[in-house]
Amino acid sequence: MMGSKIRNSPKDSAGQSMVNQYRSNEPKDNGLVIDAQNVGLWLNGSEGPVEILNSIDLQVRNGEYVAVVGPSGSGKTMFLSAVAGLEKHTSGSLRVFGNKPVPEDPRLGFAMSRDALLPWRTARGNVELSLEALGVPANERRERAEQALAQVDLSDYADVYRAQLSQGMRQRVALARTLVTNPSLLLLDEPFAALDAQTRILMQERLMKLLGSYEGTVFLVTHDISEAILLCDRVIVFSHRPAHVAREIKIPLPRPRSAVHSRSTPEFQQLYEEIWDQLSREFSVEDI
Amino acid sequence: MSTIESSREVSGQVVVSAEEGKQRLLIEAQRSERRHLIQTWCIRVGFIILWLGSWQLFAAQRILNPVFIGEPSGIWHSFTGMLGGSVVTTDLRVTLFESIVGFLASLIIGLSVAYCFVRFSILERAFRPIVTAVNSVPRIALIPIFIIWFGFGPMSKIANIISFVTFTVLLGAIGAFTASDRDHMLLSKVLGFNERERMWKFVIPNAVPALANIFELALIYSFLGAITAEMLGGAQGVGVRLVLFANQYQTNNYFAVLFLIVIVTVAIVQGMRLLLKRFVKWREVEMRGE
Repeated sequence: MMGSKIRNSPKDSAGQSMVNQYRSNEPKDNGLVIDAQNVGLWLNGSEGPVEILNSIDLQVRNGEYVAVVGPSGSGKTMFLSAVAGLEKHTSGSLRVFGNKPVPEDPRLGFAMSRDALLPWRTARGNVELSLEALGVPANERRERAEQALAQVDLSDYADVYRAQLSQGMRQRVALARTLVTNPSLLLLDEPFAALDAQTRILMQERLMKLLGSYEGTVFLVTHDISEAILLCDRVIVFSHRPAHVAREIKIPLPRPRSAVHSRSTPEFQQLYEEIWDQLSREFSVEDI
Repeated sequence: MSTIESSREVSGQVVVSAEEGKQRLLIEAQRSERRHLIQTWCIRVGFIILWLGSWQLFAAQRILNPVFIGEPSGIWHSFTGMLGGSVVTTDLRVTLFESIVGFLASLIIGLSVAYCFVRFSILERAFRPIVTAVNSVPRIALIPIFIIWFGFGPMSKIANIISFVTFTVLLGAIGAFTASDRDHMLLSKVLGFNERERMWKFVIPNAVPALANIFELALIYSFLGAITAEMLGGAQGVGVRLVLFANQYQTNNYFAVLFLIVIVTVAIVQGMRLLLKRFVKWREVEMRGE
C-alpha cells in the first residue's frame, strides 16, 4: 500500500498551520483515515424523520482506495457527506483522521458529480477558489492553480469562462480545483456521473494516471460498478435504505489498470458479476 | 466573382472546395447581418417620420387644435430656446440633484437591508409582512406629508424618492440574492467557506447582472419620484415648470421639457450601463455559449 503523508507545500503557511492544528489533536491515530462504527443517520423529511443510515461499520486505512456502491437512494452519498462534515450523523461514532469531521479540514478534497464551476470566474479563478478557502496568498494561488490546470492539460484554457469549455473540460477544471490543495483524503461523489459514456472512460483513464503520483487515500461513491472495480482496492456494497454494509469485496487486480482494457479481462468480469449479484439483492420492487 | 477559379464544374454541377465553402458561408453571414441592420433602421426612422409628420400635418391643417396637442416644429423651437436658459441651468439641475441623491440613498438602504435579510434569514422572516404592508401604502399620498416635514425644497423630493425606490431595490435585490445555484451553495460548504465569504464569493457575484437591471429601473423611478413630488408642490425643478406650462396652455414648452427629461434620463442610463458593463460581461458570455 502506498504510504501517506500530508502534502501541503511548505510555502503554504496558512494551510500548513491549519494542518498542524488538526494534527496536534489527533490522540488516537490508529492509521485509520475513516473510522465509522455503528453510524446511524436520520433526516427530517416532509413526513417526519427518515432513517437513512441504519448502522454503518466501515474502516478505511491510510493510502487505501475504497469504493461504495449501493442501490440508488441507499444513502451512500449521505454517508460521504457525513465523512466530509456536511451532514451530522445521529448515532454511533464517525472519525476522520481520528477527529470529528469538519468541511474546513484542509486535508479533505471533495469532488462533486456536477462541476459547479462559477460562471463569473475564469478556469484559473475557479481553481483558485479552493486555495482562497485555505487563505493562501494571491500570487501563490495563481501559481498553484496554473500547475493544477497543467496537470489536467488545460494550461491553454486558464483565462476562459465556463461557457467556452466543453463538458469534459469543465469536469477537468473541477478536478483541478479538488487536487490543487493537495488533499490527503480524496472524497469522490459519483465524480463522472454527469458525463457521456465516452468522456467518462477518458476521465477515468486520466484520473488513474493522476493518482499514479498521489500518496493519499481515496474514498469513492458511485453507482458505476466498473468504475468502482477499476479505481479501487476494495468495494463496499451498501444495502437498501436504511443502509448497512451488505458486503465487502476485495479487488486484487494488478496496477496499473486501464479504463478500456482491464474491463475485458475474465477477472474483471467475475468481480463485476459478484458485485452485481449482491447489489441486485438490495434492490426493492419499487426500484424496477 | 474572383474566387470562382477554386470551383470546378463536374457534369453541369458546380463543385465547391472546402475553403470556398467556408468563404461563402462567411460572406453570407456578413450580408445577412448588414441586411438586418438596414431593415431595422428603415423601420425605426420610417416610424418616427410617419409619427412626427402626421402630428405636424394635423396641427398645421388645424385638424386638431395645436393649442392642445402642440406641433413638432414648435416643440423643437421651444427645446432649442430652452438650452442654456433657466429651465436647464436651474430646474434641470435641481431635479438631477434630487434624483441622483435619492437614487444613491435608496440603493444603499435597499441593498444593505437585502444583504441583512439574506444573510440572517430570521430577519427576513420577521420583517417580510411588515415590508409588504409598508410597500402597499400608496406612496404618492405621502408627498404632502413630506412637504409638511421637509418643506418645498429638495429634501421632500429626496424623501419621496427614497420611499418610492428603496422597495424596488430591496425586493429586487432579495430576489437576485436568493437566485443562487444549488450546486454553488454546496460547493461553498464543501470548501469550508463561512457565511460572509459565501455572500461575497458566491451570492453577490451571481446577483450582479440582475442587480444591474434593477439599478436601471431604480434610476428611472428616481426621476419619476422627483418630478411627481415637484409637480405636487415645489419651488424649483422641471416638475414645477411642467405644472406652470400646463396651466398656461404652453403645450409646445410642455412637450419640450418632457423631451429634455427623456434625453437626460437616457444619457444617464446609458452611462450607468457602460459603468456596469465590466461586471455583467460573464453573463453575456454565458448566454452566448461557445
